[in-house]
Amino acid sequence: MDEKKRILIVDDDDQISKMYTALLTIKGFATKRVNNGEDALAEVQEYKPDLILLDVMMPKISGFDVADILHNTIETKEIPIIMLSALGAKEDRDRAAASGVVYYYVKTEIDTESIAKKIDEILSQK
Amino acid sequence: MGLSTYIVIFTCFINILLGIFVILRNSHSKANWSFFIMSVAISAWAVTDHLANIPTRLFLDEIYNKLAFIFAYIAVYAGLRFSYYFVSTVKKRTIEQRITIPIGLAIVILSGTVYIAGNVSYVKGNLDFSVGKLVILYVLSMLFMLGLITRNLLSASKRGDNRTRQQAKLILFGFSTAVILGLIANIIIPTISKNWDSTDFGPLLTVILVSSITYAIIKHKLFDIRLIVARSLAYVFTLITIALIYIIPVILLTTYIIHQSLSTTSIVALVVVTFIVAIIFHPLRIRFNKLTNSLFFRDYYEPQEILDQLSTVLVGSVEVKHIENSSTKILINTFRPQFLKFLFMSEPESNQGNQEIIKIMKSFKDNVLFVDEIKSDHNRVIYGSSYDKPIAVAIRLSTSNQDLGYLLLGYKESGNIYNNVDKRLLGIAADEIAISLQNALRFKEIQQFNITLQAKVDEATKELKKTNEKLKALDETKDDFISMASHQLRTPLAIIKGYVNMLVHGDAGKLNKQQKDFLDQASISSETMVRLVTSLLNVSRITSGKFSVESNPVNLADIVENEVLQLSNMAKERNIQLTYQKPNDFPILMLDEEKIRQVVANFIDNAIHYSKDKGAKINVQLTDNDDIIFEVIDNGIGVPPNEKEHLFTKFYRAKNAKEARPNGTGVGIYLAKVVINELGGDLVFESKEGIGSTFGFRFKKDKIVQPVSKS
Repeated sequence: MDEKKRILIVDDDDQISKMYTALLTIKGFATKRVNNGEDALAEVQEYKPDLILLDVMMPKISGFDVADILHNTIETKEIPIIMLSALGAKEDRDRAAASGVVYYYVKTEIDTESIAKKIDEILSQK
Repeated sequence: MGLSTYIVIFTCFINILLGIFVILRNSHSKANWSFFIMSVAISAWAVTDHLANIPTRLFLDEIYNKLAFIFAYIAVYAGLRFSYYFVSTVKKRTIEQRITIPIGLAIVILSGTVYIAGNVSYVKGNLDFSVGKLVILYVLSMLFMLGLITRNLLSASKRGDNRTRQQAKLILFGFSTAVILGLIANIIIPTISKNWDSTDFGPLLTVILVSSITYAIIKHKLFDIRLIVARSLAYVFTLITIALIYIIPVILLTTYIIHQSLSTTSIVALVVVTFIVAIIFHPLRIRFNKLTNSLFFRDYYEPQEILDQLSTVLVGSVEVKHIENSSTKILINTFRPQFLKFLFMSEPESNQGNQEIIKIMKSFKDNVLFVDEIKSDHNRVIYGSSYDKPIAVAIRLSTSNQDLGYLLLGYKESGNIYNNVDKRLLGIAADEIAISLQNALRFKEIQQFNITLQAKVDEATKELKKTNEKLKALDETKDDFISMASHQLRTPLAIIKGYVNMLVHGDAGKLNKQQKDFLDQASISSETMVRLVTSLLNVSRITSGKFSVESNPVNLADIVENEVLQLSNMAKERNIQLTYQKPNDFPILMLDEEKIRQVVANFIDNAIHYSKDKGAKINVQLTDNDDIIFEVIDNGIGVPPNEKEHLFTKFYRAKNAKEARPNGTGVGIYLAKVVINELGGDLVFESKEGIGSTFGFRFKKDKIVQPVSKS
């Protein structure tokens, strides 16, 4: 069996990140969670995740900014990002797409099983 | 000079005068100008015709003769044009007029030649006139024009209003008489009998014409110059009488007493000078009157003039101050009193110190009191307040229903007394000023009332605005609250959903049946909550204007199937049978998936909750003209008729709905309506209370993306 894939969970809401940690751990992934954008950028360098679960609304640096920076850095460009948002507006989707984010879900609409399935899909493609 | 000369002079004079009057009256009317030209031409003809018959130099006579023909023609032509204006304005007969102009001109020119006018020669010491060869043309065209004039006048005498008919008849009479007699006298008789004496009577005949028109003027208001004619006649007769009174004695004196005969020239000069003197007498008199007035009468004034000034000023005043100032100015200029003071009832302070005079005035019947005439005390001198000058005149300013005040005048600076003319003037002025003051006071009242009204309205408006703002703020607060609340609720909801999901899927271990059951229930409820929160969020977005729909390819049939599945558990709980026949090959539509899903879910949800234990049918289909219909037909409680129009408004709940489902928000179908409208579709809604309802939507076929979906 391969080494566990690493997923970085970025969300300022502890409840959310705890839940995703639980889910993904059960599904067999290694996870790490941070609660703000700066730490996220630092952790990407250190932890080198295979996928990033990124919340949009965060204080100081927003999810969009993080995605932008990651997208414009060579080493991190290839890491797939799933953005989670409490909103679902089209402008936000488009903005995410501009930063190279392919997957954008609204938290309350997507259910956990689907996310897990999606993550599997993405990582198996890599 | 013979009688004929006098006739000619007289006729000329009258004709030209009438013509001038008419022009002065209205110089823009073409009819008036025609009349003027006609009368001048007639006079000119009379003169030249007469002169032609006086034997002077032969060639002069010839010229006069020719001119006579010309003027006669012009006169008739002008008369023709005049008659055209008399005809009803509808038919101007312009073609006729256009034809007659060049013909007329040609003949006028010809008239001056020998072809028509002929030659003049001496035969046996008398003048002999022969006519030219083309004189027939002249006569015929004259006759033709006269015929036209007659026709026009006849037409006018039959049409038009009573006055026009009368006038036309009169003119027709005078005209025809004059013309016929004129023709006979001037042309027919001489041509036949070769005797030109009958032409002497020509001018007389014009008198007939002129008199008839004059009569028409005086009696029937033709040209409306009756007054001018009356006055001018009087003036002319005065001048003539004066001239005669002067000239006749002078002639008699020189002829019989001094035995010198006056030459024609001197007589003419005499007449002219007399007329000039008579004319300038009146204006000269007026000038000297004014001059001596300003020398002898320092305070002479023209009462009518003063009253006119006063009226002009008062008519334009609506303010008491203005009335006071302007009338003060006029009265001071007129009388030059030592002082002038207005006392107003509306300003009681001004009455202080003037009690004495006011008391006297109160018992005085007239409105103008000369202090000197009060017989009570001799040498009585009444002083006004704060003046060291005595009051000479006290005037009461009052109308029939109101006392407005008083006007006090001091003695004249010139030292002259106030006389009866002054009294009369002051009396009239007092009345006018009183009325003006009354108006001003009433005007002020109305203004005041207006201001008060306006103030009240402004205040009420301000209050209303304040209340409005408060309501708006309240509304905003409510919307903000909903927005914030729904936002905050989403995250915990997502988490609950997440964990329950994981449990249900066995991610935390296998579950027994009961555990699974419980979790299913929890799942349903959390789904409901998510839906609710989303609805509330959408409502608040609609209010704040941040609501929008997208357009993406959407498989409606699938969505409906999904939602039916999702809600099947809930339906089973309530014993409702959901029937859905998914159509084959249903086209893909451009809709907002998330929102249309909510609408579908909402309608099905409602059907489940408001039905008794029957069934609900869900339809998705294409109509004949390729419209897309989605319907949920239930056998539920239905919507009462009086609540139908409010049904789709925010937070509205029908009474029977509130009973059936106390926890409803009233938001679902409001949102559905907004979404459907934003997507460009129509609501489908029918309902019978107690029987059932149909809810749904319809889109036109332009929503279809591909004709067939890939199943």
